[in-house]
Amino acid sequence: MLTLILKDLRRDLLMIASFIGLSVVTTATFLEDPYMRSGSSEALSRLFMPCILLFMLIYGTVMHVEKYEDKNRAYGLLRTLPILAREIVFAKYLLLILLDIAGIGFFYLTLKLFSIEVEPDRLTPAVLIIAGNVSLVTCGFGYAGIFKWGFSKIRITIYVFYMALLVVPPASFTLIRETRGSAGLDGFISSLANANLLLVSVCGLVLYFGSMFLAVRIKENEAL
Amino acid sequence: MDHVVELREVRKEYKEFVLDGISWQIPKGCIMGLIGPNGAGKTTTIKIIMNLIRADGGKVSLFGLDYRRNEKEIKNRIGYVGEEQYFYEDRTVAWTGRFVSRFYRNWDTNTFSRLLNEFQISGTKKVKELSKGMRVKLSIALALSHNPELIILDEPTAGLDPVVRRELLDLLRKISSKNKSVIISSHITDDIARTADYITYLLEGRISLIEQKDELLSNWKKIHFRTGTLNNGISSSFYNIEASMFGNSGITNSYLSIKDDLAEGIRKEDIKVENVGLDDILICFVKGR
Repeated sequence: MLTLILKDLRRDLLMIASFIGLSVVTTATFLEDPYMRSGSSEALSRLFMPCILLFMLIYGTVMHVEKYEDKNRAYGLLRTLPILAREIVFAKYLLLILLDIAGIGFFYLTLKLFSIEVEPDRLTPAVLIIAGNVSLVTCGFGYAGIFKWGFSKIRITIYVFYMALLVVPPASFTLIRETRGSAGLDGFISSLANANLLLVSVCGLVLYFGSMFLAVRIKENEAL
Repeated sequence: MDHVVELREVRKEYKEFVLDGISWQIPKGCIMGLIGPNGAGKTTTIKIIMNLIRADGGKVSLFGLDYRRNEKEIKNRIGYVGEEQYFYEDRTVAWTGRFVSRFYRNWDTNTFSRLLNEFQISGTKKVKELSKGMRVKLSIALALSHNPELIILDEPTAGLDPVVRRELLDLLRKISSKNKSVIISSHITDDIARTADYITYLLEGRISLIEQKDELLSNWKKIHFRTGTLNNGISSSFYNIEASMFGNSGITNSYLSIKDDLAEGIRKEDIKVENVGLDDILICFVKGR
């Protein structure tokens, strides 16, 4: 299993390194922009970009790895080797969760490193963890879909789905501000900051591992 | 006799094809040739043996073990060369060897290097730069480097030139002499005739015949006879009776048992016995009597 994780990780090293570079540059320039809006929405604006980058890192890994596996019809090779179908799936999901944790840690540290403070204090880890969970769960089900229908068949669907997901958070904030005003947005931010992170993480992981077991069932019943 | 593969009443149903209650045993140390027309179920049978598809019913056991609990153990003891070879195309041959080696308990790097040398494949070449023949050879090198007890080859010679085909068949003979078992499926019956000890004919999802090759070829003969020289009892059991320059000809599957009858009361010049190939036998099965 470790062999498979390392293979995918090595394959993605360049992409991960690019993300790290992009994240640092973005954080250092865009987020330090003195003309950014002030007030309650500033906090969310400052956290939005790291979340998008985290999301793209996880999503990008899935698409990059699966495109490569699909191109080489790699599962045709792997299934003939002494490795169980569930180990192949576990390796994929384990890599994602490791990247997700590393991504959350990386963006948290980057924000701290560039002294980008947001109020309230708990908002940064809360938003990063929620974004990390959303990334994991959507990619987990994305993987199950890929195993079920094949990468090439549902590639476009997944692209559209993830692009739509990128639009949802800013659209939601705008909607809250339009309907409830700044006070409503402050309330929303406050509830985000006070979210029970343990509960959020547990729910996210339950859904993620649920999608993993679904993927295992699909892979085990797959005919090559 | 020990069997490395045992299928009992194995069934697999697709929309337009049914593998219908296959029971098949492969003795240890033999080369089993699997012959059948397109769509007969050869690849399906092999994929079931490899657990690449699940049978709908019946029992599959390899080395006395079943896949449900012993998949890794079983696959550690099998070398598989598929109809198509799947590799990471932009990786080198050496990388492919290292990657595959990590999954096998008994991988022998020296054997892999020796086989690459023997096949004249450079380790530094990328897989996508290899020709069809080279890819098959790489696949064989990968399949043999973990010292498998059973080697399964699904149409390995398809698309290969005659020289490479002959090399491959010689290699298989060498392998089987080391008490390893081989299953080889091929459209090219000539290849099977050269290598196999046993022959299995698969037709429309059913096994039509399993027999030792030498016995099979001793029993199946083409008989040319002048009209009226054979009694109806004998000639009615012939396959594919047709008129020929000699008179008539037909193929029998029981030459050894009718040999004496043929010799009795029939003049030598009225009858001619000819060997048949595995192809002719396949055609007899397909066309019927």
